[in-house]
Amino acid sequence: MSDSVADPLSFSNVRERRWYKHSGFSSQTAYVATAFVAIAALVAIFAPHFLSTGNLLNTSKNFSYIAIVALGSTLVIITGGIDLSVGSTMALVAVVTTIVMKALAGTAVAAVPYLGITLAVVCGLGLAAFIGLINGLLIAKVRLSPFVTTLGMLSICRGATYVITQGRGQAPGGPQVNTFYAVTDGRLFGLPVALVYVLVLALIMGVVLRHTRWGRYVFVLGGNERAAKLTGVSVSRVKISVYVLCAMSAGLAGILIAGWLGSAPANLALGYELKIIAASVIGGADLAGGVGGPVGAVIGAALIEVIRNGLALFGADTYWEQVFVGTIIILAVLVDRLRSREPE
Amino acid sequence: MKSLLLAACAAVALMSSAQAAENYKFALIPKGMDNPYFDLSRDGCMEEAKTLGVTCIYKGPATHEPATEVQIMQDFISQGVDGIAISVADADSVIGVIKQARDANIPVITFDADADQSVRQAYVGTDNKEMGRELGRQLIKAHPQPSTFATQSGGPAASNLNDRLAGLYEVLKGAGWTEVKGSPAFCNDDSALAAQQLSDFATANPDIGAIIPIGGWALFAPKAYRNYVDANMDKVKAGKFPLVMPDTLPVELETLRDGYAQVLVGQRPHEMGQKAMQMLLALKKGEKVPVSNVVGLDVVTKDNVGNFLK
Repeated sequence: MSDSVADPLSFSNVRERRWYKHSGFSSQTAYVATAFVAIAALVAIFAPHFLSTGNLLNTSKNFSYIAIVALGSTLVIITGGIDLSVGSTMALVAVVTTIVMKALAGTAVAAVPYLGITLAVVCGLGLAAFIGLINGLLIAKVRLSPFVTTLGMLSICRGATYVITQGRGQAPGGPQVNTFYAVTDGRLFGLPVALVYVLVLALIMGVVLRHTRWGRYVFVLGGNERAAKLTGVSVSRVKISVYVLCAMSAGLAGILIAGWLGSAPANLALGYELKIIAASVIGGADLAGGVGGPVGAVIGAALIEVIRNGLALFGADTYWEQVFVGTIIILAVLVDRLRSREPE
Repeated sequence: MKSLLLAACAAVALMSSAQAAENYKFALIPKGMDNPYFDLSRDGCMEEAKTLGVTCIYKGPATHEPATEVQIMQDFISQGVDGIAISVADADSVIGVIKQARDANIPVITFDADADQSVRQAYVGTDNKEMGRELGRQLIKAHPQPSTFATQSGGPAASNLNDRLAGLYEVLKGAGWTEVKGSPAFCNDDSALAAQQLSDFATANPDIGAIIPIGGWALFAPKAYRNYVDANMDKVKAGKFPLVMPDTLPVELETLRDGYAQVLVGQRPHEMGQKAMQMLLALKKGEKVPVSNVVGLDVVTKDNVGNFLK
């Protein structure tokens, strides 16, 4: 063990690592996963109904919406950015998708099976991509701060949602509305489809981040943007792409929620941006950039939902959830800081 | 001839008063524009304003939020409207602004949700305690054997909801029902959360006798709400889990029609909107109006749902 060597020429990053720095324990994601298992086990012991099929189906669906957006949000956070506009993007896309679906129901489009709902969903996701594109262009090309840009977009999208709906909830409609419900809120292999979307998207994101050039660039950008630029990485293109993907993940989650609720209320996902960023951060994404991944985002979102559901099953006051989630956020980064602190 | 002349005079007098009233602009401020319940008040207000020859301006915070509501009321005072009817989001935070309006000689009444500590001149709305009692009575009618229950409210600060809870407790606890742990749940007017909370109650307490929210939040997420009922359909069909729900908005009437609720106890927001205009016009003309104006309740079941759905 060379830890105690006080040789001024030793490199702290090449010496043998202590046990708690070995791969199994070496990331925030790993011990948050451990914490998740521990908390879920505690809830299961003290609230026996936690493991009932109905409850597992409910909770796995509930957390999926946050998890999907947390995947996109994690991409942005890895590049050292932030996207505060995701909650309102969810609402705007959900509302626009349902309105387009209803509007098309009365036209010739209705004659072609599934065309109406397909167009509506494409419209919704297209709008999401457009929102992300504007965020990305302003941040990467005009060099506005991500915080301010997406704060502005948060307000624009929520405002637009209220303008379009006059505050009234919009219900999906049209001839194939049941198909829409099946793809947004049905079951696949016995699992809620929302959960299937999460798993598939997380898998794709994991592979792409690790095994493609684009994935490497995303990390490089968060690690050292200047160095990335000097080595010829097309910084602005990569940046724009992560904001587009983040907004599209929000759009998808908004459409899924509309399918689950059977309605797109104008206050849908109000304040969810904080939950989403919390999920990413609990899962190990570092707001300073360069660190994060899909597994962490999914586990972070799952942890938040298990806390909510667990407290509800224990019969605790509703508002304790926020206190617990806040504590977990701070604990997660605190443990990470203590763990990565170099020995004096 | 004489009577004809009198009638003509009366007609002219009426017309001129209607013409004078035409200049009056009355504001109707809901707690939140995104709450479909207030759409009915708005419709009632607009219709009655047309009849009376006045203008109804409907404007409130985009979503339930006390500070914005106060700001909007201040804007109306600056604009010099002729009267304000407000559904109070937070009873304490409007006391100052209501005084400000009255100091500016603008008549102020509350509708739907009151602030009885303020200097508002009158209130029109539901007797919320009575509504809570009625929900309890309807539940006992459907399930005479005392059992356990859970309830759900929008938030702990709204006095109208707290009155409703008090009425519900009075009747149910008086009849030997016991409340489960964690009740009431607060959903912050978020219908997605509301539907989740109902499912959570059913999961945590498989033998529960009733889950009876005091506001219709979960029903505004119709599909999620129906999933929740479907998961408990065996109990519902066996009569062990009666679904007594508040309010009679169109989406809730459809819920009942399709068998996902047995009884609805509804307020009359449309009538509140109408009465608000009548009362403001009377106050503006210097007439007296009673301080408390209770609008009745509708009890809807399978038998009379057709009359309400129209």
